[in-house]
Amino acid sequence: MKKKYAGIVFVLPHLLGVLLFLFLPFLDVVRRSFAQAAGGFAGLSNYGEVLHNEAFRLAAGNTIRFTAVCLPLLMLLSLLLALALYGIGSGEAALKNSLLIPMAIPAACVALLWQLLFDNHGMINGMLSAFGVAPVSWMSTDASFYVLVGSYLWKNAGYVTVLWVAALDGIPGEVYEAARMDGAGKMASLFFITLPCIRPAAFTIGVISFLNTFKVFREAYLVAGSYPQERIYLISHLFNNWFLSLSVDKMAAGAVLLSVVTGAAVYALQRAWEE
Amino acid sequence: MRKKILSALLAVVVAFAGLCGCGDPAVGGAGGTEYPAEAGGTGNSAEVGKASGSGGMGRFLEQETSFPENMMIFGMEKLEDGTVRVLGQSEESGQYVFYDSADDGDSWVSAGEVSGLSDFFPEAGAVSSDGSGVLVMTHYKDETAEMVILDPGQEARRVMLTIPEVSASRPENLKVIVACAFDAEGRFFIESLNSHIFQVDLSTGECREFSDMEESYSRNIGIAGNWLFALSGGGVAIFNSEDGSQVEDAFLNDLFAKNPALGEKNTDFGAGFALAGGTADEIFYVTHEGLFVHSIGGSVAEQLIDGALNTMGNTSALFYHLVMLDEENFLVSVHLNRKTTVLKYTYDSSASAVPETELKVYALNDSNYLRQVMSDYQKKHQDVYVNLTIGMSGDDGVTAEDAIRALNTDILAGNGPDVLILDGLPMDSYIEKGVLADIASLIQEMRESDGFFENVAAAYEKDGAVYGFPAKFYVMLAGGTAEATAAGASLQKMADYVEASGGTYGQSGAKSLLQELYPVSSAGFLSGNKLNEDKIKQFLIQSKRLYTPTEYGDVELYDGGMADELVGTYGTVSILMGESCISCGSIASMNGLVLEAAASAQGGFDYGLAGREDSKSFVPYQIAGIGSGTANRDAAEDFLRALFGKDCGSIDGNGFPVNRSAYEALCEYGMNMFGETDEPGVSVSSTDGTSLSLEMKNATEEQIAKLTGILEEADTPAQTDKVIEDIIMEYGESALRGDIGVDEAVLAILQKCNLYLAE
Repeated sequence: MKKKYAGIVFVLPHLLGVLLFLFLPFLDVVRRSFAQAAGGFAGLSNYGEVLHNEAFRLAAGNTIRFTAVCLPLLMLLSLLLALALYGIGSGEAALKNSLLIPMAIPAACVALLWQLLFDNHGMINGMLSAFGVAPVSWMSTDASFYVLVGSYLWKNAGYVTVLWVAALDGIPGEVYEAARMDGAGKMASLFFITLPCIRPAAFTIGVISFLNTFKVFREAYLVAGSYPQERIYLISHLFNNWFLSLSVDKMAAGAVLLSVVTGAAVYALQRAWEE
Repeated sequence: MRKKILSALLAVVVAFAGLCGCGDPAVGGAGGTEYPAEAGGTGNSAEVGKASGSGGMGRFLEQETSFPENMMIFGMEKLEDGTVRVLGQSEESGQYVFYDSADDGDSWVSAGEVSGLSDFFPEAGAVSSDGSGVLVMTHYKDETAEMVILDPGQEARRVMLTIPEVSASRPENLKVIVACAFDAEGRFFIESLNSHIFQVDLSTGECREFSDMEESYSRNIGIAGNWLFALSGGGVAIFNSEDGSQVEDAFLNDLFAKNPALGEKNTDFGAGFALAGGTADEIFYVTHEGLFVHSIGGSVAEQLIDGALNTMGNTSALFYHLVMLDEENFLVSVHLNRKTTVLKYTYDSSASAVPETELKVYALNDSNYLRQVMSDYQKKHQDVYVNLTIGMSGDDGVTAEDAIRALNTDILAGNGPDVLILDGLPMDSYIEKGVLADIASLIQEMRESDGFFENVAAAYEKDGAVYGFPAKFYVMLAGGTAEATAAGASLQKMADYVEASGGTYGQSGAKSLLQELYPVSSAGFLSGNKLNEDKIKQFLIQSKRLYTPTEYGDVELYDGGMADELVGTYGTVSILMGESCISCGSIASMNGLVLEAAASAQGGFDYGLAGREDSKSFVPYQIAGIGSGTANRDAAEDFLRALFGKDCGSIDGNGFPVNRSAYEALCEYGMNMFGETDEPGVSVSSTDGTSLSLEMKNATEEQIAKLTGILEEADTPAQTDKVIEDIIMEYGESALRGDIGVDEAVLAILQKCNLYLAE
């Protein structure tokens, strides 16, 4: 009983923080989503307006597409990296640390790097021109989407790899030993021991990676501003711009919709994992 | 355990030290004598005049003295018997006159005129503490310098200055005198154009070199007590005028280094800085921030008067002299709005340190006009404290988006400004969201009393409501020869004309060119809630045809932060200089009109509204509205009355007033700008050394009528949405420089702007 209360005491500050700085403000957002900007009850009209808003539909579509492309790619790529790293012995720690470097680079520096690489007069076009290839407007064409995907993978792969390695470290060595004695090969061990054992971790890693997809906005904003090429115009761009025009009504409705979709996605992911 | 306790203590100490270190180290008591100080804030460019010491009592109140009008002031000094003496020159008769005040500036009487100086054109002057006046003049023809010593009621005594041939980079400039001053002991100093300071023997005119300031490019000196200040844009050198020794004062040096304009003297019209001696090592100085006391060599200055609460804060005001009468009374002579006045500041211990009513005014960009209005309003409403917040001060790298985000946060939190200057802000969105109050009744009241340019006013009235209204506006002109003027009817015709004539539009950077042409065409860029592709494409195509980079690439003309920068860029001087074959730019003042008339007279040029075949557009300026949540509606309306009113509107510059009475007063000024005889010549030079002399004349009725006709013709506001403008500028620049094709630029502009409009 004592132990139980001790746990609550430790968690309480965090819970209070969440209550004060997240839950209560979110309730205010919900209230505003049913109010007119100039005051007065708006009913569901803000939601209707948002759902019919071309910009919202484009931004939501892009965000879903970006998540749908990035999430599986990141999970798979980082798992492969983790498997390659796992158990290599000397140098594993150094390699793991080096993989975290992109995570530590400030968004402003990443944006600068993007500009150096992908500007019309940037390094990539410079290299292409050496082979007689015409310069590509990376950030003004559909190619910008893949630049954003690449950036997300580069920035997050290391971190997720480290998470996967931690999960792999948690598998007891005796299990592999017993399997080897039973004649299991590497592939059999992977499919019948490794993957099932890291499945609980995969859920956490999936949720973290999913939430990180929203953070790519910082780099996109710093490089291309409030109105980037339309393929990389994300929900975060729209919210930023709505705030600038003081469209709090639409922003609140959009935020509630986004919360519902995100919450539903996480719940569905959890259910899928549990089953 | 001990370690833990020590660490915890250290953490607490560091945290408190951090909190305590948040104050401005440069502000505080100057030490020595205690002076009555008011609001504790020093003010800064981002949040001007924000007072920290609210709630206390005691403040210096401003009062305009009865000093005669139309006087140019050369010297002002408190004499040994306590009388304040001014040496001035009547702007009407040219007569030099001494005025005395025996009651601390409350009343002034003539102490005597000085005759026999009709051929004397002084560069500078000063009054000594014994009451004598001295004027100095350079004779450019024979490269000599002369001074004249004046005493009330006596014949002027003229003495040629004997300036020694000291080592100087341009020896001929040693005799060009730019400034002079007396110290407390009556020693007289002059400074030459090439920054050599001399001490002058008043009886013989013999000069002895006091200091060589050539390396610092000093162009102005000031004296406080026995401290001589050699002022320059990069810093200040301070000397003891008695023995010539120099003292270091890092605080004042930093002040000048950070505000180079303080060290500059505006010929005839004072400077942004004036000095007065206090007791011992203390000096007083006045800037647009206010009046301060400082100990020489000290590291702080104490603010006695907050400039944000009175005329000092008006950035158009130039200070001539500061005189300390006693600890509670100061006199400042200033040049403001074409006239010179002497202002008196008296400490009132019963007045609240900061006026109890605070009027919050917000503007994204700083502007001289707003400062003038603020100062005018503050002078008339000393019970109201105007707290001006500039979103983009230019000092801190804040972008427009950052500033708007911060403003919106304040509005949502219920702390929005009382008055909003809407230039650069999302005005339509603010109207839609109910951020702005309807000011239709105020506009109607002013319409009935003063009248408006209805072509401009009508654009801001929707369904009988007015949420934002411009104080000023300007128009874009195109002109030159008769063919050039006809070609100015559209951008396409301008480009055709330039190509056919084999000339150029003028060499300016891609960004500057687009900034000049944008107001000409932008009125038609929006069709409903979509961008008009054809108009955007034509704009870029024609701009590209007119674009002529220099051999060194782009030279941008307008890169600063002031919103006033693009106001008044029209001029056919460039055609006379052979730099272009057509001129296009904004006309925004009577000064601009007479200068243009002088240039046109030489070439027989004409002008018309630029782009009139596409749209007859004007550019609104200083659009203002009242926050719907204001608790100071009356004060806010009074502020708008000043902003839209006749008094401030009739000040020349920064656009033409929408207020018709103000415009008529401005026209009156234009027709009498140089009096009846005094019409100066202006010499202009081009970058290749070609020079041209223009004879300036008062504006004629015909010229005024033509201008008025053009101002009345313009009936559509140019596109002022900053998001759309920024997107078009960004891709337009790339297209003009050839980084991307025009079609590609148009596509990108359409995509981004339509996305913005869809939001």
